[in-house]
Amino acid sequence: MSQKTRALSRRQFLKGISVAGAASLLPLRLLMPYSAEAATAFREQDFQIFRNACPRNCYDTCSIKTFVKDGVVQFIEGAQESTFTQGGLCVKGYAYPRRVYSPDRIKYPMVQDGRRTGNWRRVSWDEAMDRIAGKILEIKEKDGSLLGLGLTKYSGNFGITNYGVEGMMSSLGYTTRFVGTPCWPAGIDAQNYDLGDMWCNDPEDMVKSRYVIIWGANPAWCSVHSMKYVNEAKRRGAKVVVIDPVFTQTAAKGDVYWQPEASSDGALALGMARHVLDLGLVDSDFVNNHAKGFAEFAAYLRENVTVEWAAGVSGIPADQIREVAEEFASADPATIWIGYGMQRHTNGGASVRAIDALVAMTGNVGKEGGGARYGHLRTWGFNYHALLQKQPEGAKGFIGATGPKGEFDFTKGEAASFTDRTVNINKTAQAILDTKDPALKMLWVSCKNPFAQDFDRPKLEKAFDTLEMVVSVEQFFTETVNNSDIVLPVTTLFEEWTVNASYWHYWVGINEQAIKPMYETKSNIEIAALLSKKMNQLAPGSCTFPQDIDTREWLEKEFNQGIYDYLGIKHWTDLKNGPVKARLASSASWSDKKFGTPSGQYEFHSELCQQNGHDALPRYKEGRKPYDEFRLLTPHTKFGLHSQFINLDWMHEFNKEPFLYMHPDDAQEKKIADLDMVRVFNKVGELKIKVKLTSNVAKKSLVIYEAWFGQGNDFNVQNLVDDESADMGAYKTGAPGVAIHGQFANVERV
Amino acid sequence: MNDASIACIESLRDFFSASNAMELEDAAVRIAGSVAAVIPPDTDWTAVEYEFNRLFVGPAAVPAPLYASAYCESDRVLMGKAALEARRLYHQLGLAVPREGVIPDDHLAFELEAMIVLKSALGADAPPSQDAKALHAWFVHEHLARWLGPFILATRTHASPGGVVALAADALAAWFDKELNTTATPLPE
Ligand code: SF4
Repeated sequence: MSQKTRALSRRQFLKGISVAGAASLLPLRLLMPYSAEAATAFREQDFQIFRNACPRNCYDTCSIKTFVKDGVVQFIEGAQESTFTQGGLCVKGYAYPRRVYSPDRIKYPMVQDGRRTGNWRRVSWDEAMDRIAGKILEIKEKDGSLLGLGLTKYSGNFGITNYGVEGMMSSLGYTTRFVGTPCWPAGIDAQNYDLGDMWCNDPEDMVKSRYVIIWGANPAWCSVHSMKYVNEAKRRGAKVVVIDPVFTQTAAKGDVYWQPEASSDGALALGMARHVLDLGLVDSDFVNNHAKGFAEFAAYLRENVTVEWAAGVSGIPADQIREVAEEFASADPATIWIGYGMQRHTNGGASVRAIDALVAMTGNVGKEGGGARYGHLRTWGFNYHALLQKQPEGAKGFIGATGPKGEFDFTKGEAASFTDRTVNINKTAQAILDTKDPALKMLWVSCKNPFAQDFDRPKLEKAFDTLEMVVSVEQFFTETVNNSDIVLPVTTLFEEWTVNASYWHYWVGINEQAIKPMYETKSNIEIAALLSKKMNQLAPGSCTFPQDIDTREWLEKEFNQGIYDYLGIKHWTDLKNGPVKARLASSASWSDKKFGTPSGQYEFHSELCQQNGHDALPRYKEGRKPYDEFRLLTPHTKFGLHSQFINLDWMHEFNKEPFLYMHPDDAQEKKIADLDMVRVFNKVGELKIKVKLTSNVAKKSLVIYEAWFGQGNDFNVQNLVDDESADMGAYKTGAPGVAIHGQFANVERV
Repeated sequence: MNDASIACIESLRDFFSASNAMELEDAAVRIAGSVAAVIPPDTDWTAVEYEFNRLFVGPAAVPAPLYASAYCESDRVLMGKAALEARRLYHQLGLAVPREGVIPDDHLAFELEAMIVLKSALGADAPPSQDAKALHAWFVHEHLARWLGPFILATRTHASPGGVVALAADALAAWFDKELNTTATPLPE
């Protein structure tokens, strides 16, 4: 009998049979009497459709339609309502059902008897909370404050209600917070000095551009939905220039590809600016009426910058620099997409300022289809109800600092006699080791996998070993969980209510709970509520976080009239019909040329920047000096987001193992053949990996994509990346960025 | 109905749904009793718990998930057709997994409990109802037979040889072999 008929007959066979009375007399332990209404909360006949939103730290923040039958997510698709998502997700997004239903998901609260031993025991939520609360109270008792309790959290789950993790910390007292961001801080500060905020054009208006430079970004991998706008601009006649030290899939789609020396971007932009100046293509209305300090900038260019010099620093031939500069200045409008990769350098902020200046002097700021596009937070005007929790009466904290900061810190900086203690998130290991009086004793990790993403992994392990208790809130068993004492299972996007906004496009979507939370998983705010309950049981008044949480109610509390007006909706439930785009006066940011700087103008010359320890002008700043033979680049991979997704079986189909990519000429010199096993090493550590030879990478550089492959693979690029700071970031995000691409290493065959 | 066989299934159910060393010990002692095996008196039950979690529970990726779907779906994924099949079977028995959808219905322990119900139904009726016989036969041949083999293999591959988990896997295998061999196929091939 064929499989198909057999399956069919099996179904028919089962139909209509009932042995319903069989269990009535048996003492059963697990199963319970079935009643259609009680047991199945979901309609059985057809699919129910739920609205979800991808909460990963990804440009695209896709709106998702989730199809549920029998209480099970059957499949998902991109929402059609959003012109940005346009009915499609990326490969990672389509893998979500694998994530919620992976047998490897963390299902229960568990404790590990000895870190890295793999000796795990299941505990009830009550016991887990008992241990955690007990430790918190012990720290408070010993130290007289909770500064020995640290929180490291970032963007693993961007749903707004997840700020309840920070809220939970505040509700306990004043704690130590890892602040800043490894992602984009240098560029944020740069744009704040130049423009007075980070605020990009609507990416959908890129179609209007006549000239597009994609500078240090790889949207073909990291913002797949943006590529349609790049392609459409191109179809309408725009030229697309891609600048990247790696020949990426985005580069392959461009008309012009430049492979500059990494960290030479500032020189390249200034060389172009000098040529624009020489040609007289400066937009005089803009620089005279809407900008401050252009004359000084022009003088700097004339005195210190030549195209030949820029060519020498960047390795891009002078005639090409001239050609692209002239075309860019002549096109109307022209835009530059400034990627986050190019500012992950010790001169990253200065480089972004140079690029901003090039866009501004050609009159492309405030123009539809133009702009120095970096990111925005204009659609993030939520109430941050989950975040804004009050410390308990009498809580003691840190005196002298200004409290936590961060690009997503929306607290209004109320005056308080105590604050949290802040340490640099980009120096997690060093901060744990250095923090004294009181030392860090306990760390809470959520929405983040420090061992995959924080720098100098060997040092991080040492640092973790000094901690008395580490609690990880996770979906999968990462190296951070392996270095924890307690793991708490957290819900996926399908199992909680929240709302998601983008830092790139202008759509906002709600995230509905589509299925019941599986196993014993709980959302971050439910975990906070449980902890609060336990804290108050053990020590009444020791935690102010509400003890009964309904995630739907908490989602509701995030909305306000400002959001409704900006989105043009009456109530958040309108978002159940699909995502909504902000009502923009113009698709261009700064279209009224009223800038957020102290002068209200675009500032080529920024005193604020100078006060904060940098040049007032976007002068060239040299990158980090090489400390080893090859430059090491560890950019994002195609089928993962840091340590998310690649561990899933579907992704293994595409991407089974990591590779080092190097230029064939370098390989020949090192007597390395394609697919050889090599050792990559530097002052931080080493890793062993298979090599692939390709001229897509520049000579004298090594490329290894940052990813986490899950169990059975100890690959980790953070064995080779140190925590050297970027130049900027402290002003707006609380800590400087990190020179992820200012790294060097050597390689040999093993 | 055979009381000894029911007791054996009960002990297997309790073993595979155990959440701590004490429950594992209690169930394992009964399993050993039902297959006439001996568990060394110096057994470290906490170590058994670690192993049980490493194989079946987590938090690390599990080599032998306790759910039928992990073996029946073309990809290793839970809440697949096998889970809904199990759900339908329970409904036909007038039963359901508590808070349906939270723990996949095809967890081994639920299935073993359903088996107890079916076997009791077969034993209680004289003569047993055709429906009960048919459902039991379907469950054995069409459902359990599809995944217990690969599950037992995965468990044996990753369990410490001669240990308590291996003993439970052997007991499960022995019980199911017998069940399979003594149950007529539900449909003509
Ligand atoms: S990872 Fe990015 S592109 Fe992929 S589904 Fe999520 S938001 Fe969309």
